[in-house]
Parts: sequence; structure tokens; C-alpha cells
Amino acid sequence: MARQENDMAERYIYEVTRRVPKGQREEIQLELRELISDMMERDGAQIEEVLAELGNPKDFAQKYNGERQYLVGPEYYEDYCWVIKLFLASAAGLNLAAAVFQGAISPGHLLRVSFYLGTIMNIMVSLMGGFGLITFIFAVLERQNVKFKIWREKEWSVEQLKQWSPAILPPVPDEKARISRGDCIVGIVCTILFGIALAFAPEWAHWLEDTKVKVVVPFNLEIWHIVLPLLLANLCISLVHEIIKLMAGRYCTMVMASQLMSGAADIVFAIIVLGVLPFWNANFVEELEKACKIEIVSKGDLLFYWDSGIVSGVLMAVIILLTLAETGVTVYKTLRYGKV
Amino acid sequence: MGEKKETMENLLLELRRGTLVLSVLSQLKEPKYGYALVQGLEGQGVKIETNTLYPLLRRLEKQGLLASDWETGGSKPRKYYRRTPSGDEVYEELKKQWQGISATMEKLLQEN
Repeated sequence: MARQENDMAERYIYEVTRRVPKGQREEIQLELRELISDMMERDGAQIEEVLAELGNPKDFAQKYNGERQYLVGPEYYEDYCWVIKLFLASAAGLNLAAAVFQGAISPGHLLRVSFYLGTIMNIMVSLMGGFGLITFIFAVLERQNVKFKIWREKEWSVEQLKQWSPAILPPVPDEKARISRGDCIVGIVCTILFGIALAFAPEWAHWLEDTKVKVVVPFNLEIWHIVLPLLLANLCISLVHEIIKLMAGRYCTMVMASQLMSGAADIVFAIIVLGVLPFWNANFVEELEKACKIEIVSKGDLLFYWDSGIVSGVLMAVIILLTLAETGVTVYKTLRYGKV
Repeated sequence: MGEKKETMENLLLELRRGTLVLSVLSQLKEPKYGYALVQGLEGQGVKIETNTLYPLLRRLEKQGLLASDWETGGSKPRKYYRRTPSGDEVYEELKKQWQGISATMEKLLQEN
């Protein structure tokens, strides 16, 4: 090949290879060099003809990249849509509930335009952020080819199309395998209320102070900005677990898996918050004495024994034991009665 | 008119695409390099675009149906592709299926 021809060929090859993954570049470069030189040898074709025949380098590169020209493929699409819908609905719901709650405890907000704009902004931001995060997670799963299915597909049979008959009813799960819907709903409502109460704790304190009630907080408010996100994250995990329980309605592998994860999270969070961080207000007793103008000296007084280390230890032990007990019960019931 | 032509082209493309892997596998019992394969297929009336074939060869190699070797002895380095044992198996199965489809289609089209 003449120098000018060679130069054109190299430019074409570069236009293709810069669009393919790094690891394949060198080899594709060699392949294309071989191909172009072979095509040139064919009855003395011109380089322009050959390159025109090969077509737009962008299309060529696209064919090399081939299979994956999407973020979330058909295999995950159904699960992806389901997670997105669930997330968008619950994020919007929680944001609205928080706004209503805020309006209820400090009605002054309701007169401000910024309150409404802020609420709308919060909703938009959390929806977009969540959408992006979920899409990102699914795109990673797609890239890494992780195989999973949120819902195992049920065997389909013609029976389902027939009119209702007792025969198509699913077998009643063992009495002991059932999960009470009421318990789940109470759990979900309590979790949400507790979360809202925690999130607005500073507002609560201000409101109480406004009403001339003295407030002595047993927690260390200096690290509240670290503790609060941890507590809320833990509550979110519990919430998801409760929702999964509610939807399953019985002990099964999915509920067991969710319990194992949520239980592990509970224990880790308890250890971090109570064991690692200085969770308690070190001056609690003194502040209390000052606020109430009393002195706690009597050995009959419970607060005489206040020791944040012991309180943390006991609370941590209780949380860990309860979590282990709940996990144990779930695993036992799933293995014993959970088979369909 | 344009729309009809486009539909026609898309349908033809799909029809050909289905036979492409089988055509390529059929030619690679013995090692061949890419451009020889293009010419060989063209000589037998199978039109395949080079910018489709080269990526396809790589994909089939990744799926373990083909293996490749660079030969550096000649005037320039050439990459030779040939079927692997698992490629042989897949090829035989595809061939059998194709013959079944082809016979059925033949019958179907004659009836019309």
C-alpha cells in the first residue's frame, strides 16, 4: 500500500477501534489491517472503494460491540419496572406524609409558599435520585450478568382460564406458617411513625421548648447528624422487610432471606450506634438535676444508677437477643412449615 | 412506496440473519481467514457484508464455537478461524434443524 493509502486505512481503523472496548482494540486493529489489505489486493481496488464498502466506521464499531446496546435488558426489565413503581409510589407517599406531619406540628409552615415548593422539590429530587440509583443498580447487574429473579414464575396451566372451582385454590398454608397481616400493617405504620418522629426530633424539641416545657435529652445531640441517618437507614430496611412479609403472607424462602438481611442490619446498626458511637448525653443526670432543681443522691432513686455504658450494653444485648430470636423463629418456621 | 421497500428490506435482512451463523459454521471445518471466507461464501451465492462477518466471527469464538490462530509465517499476519469440537456439535444440530425447516417450508410454499 502506498503511504497515502496506508494513512487513510489507519485513520479508518482508528475511527473503528476507538469505539470498541480497550481490551479488544489491539486485536481488532490487526484484523482490520489484514482485511483492508486483502480487499486492496482484489483486482487492484482503490482504498476509497474499499473503505466505502466497509461502510461508516461508527456502524462497524457498533457491530463489534454488538450484543449490549442497552442499560437494562429484557431479562431484568419486568423486575426493574416493578422495583421502580414500588419505589416511586413509596417515596412520593413518604414525602407527602412527612410534609403533612410537618404541617401538623407547625401550622405556620402552611402559610409559606417555600414550604410547598420545598415539598415538591423534595419529592422530585427523591424520585429522580431513586430512579437513577435503581437504574444504576440494574445496569450493573446487567453488565455483570448476575442472574436473579425477584418473583419466581408460577407454573402456568390451562386450569387458570377455567371458571372458578375449588380445585384451583392454592393449598392452605400450615396454620403456623402464616404471617398475620394485621401484625405487618401495625409494624409498617409504627416504623413509619417512628421514622417521622425521629426525623423531626429537633423540631419536636423546639416546639416543646416554645410551650415552656423543659427538655432534657438523654441522647448526645452533637452526633445526631450521624446517628439519625443510621437510624433512618435501619428503619428503611425494616420497612422493606415488613412489606415483603405482608406481600408473602406466609413464611417462605423470600421472607427468610429478607429476615436474615434485616436482622443482620439490625445487629450491625445496634453495635455501631450503641457500641461505637457516644450515643448518650454524658451530662444527662446533671442537666436533669438542674432542670428539675433536684439532686439525685438517694440509692432508692433509679437514676442514681444511670451509667451510659451499662445502659448501652443492656440495650444492645436486648436488641441482639430479640433479633436473634426473631431470626431463629423465622428460619425454623420456614424450614419446618414453609414448603409450598 | 418508500415504506414498503423499507419493510421488505428489514424482512429480508431478518431472513438472512437467521441463516448467517449456519452458513459461516458450514465453511469452517478447515481453518480459513476472514476475507477468504467472505469470498468463498460470495462465490456460492451467499452475500455477507464484511462488517457483519468480522464481528460475528469474534462472537462465535467467544461462544466457544470457533477457535482462532494468528499465522505470522506469510507476507502478513493472518487470523485463521476453525470450528471447535463443540462448534462441530452445534453445527450438526443446526444443520439437522435447518433441513427440517427447509423441507417444511418447501411443502408450505408449494401448497400455495
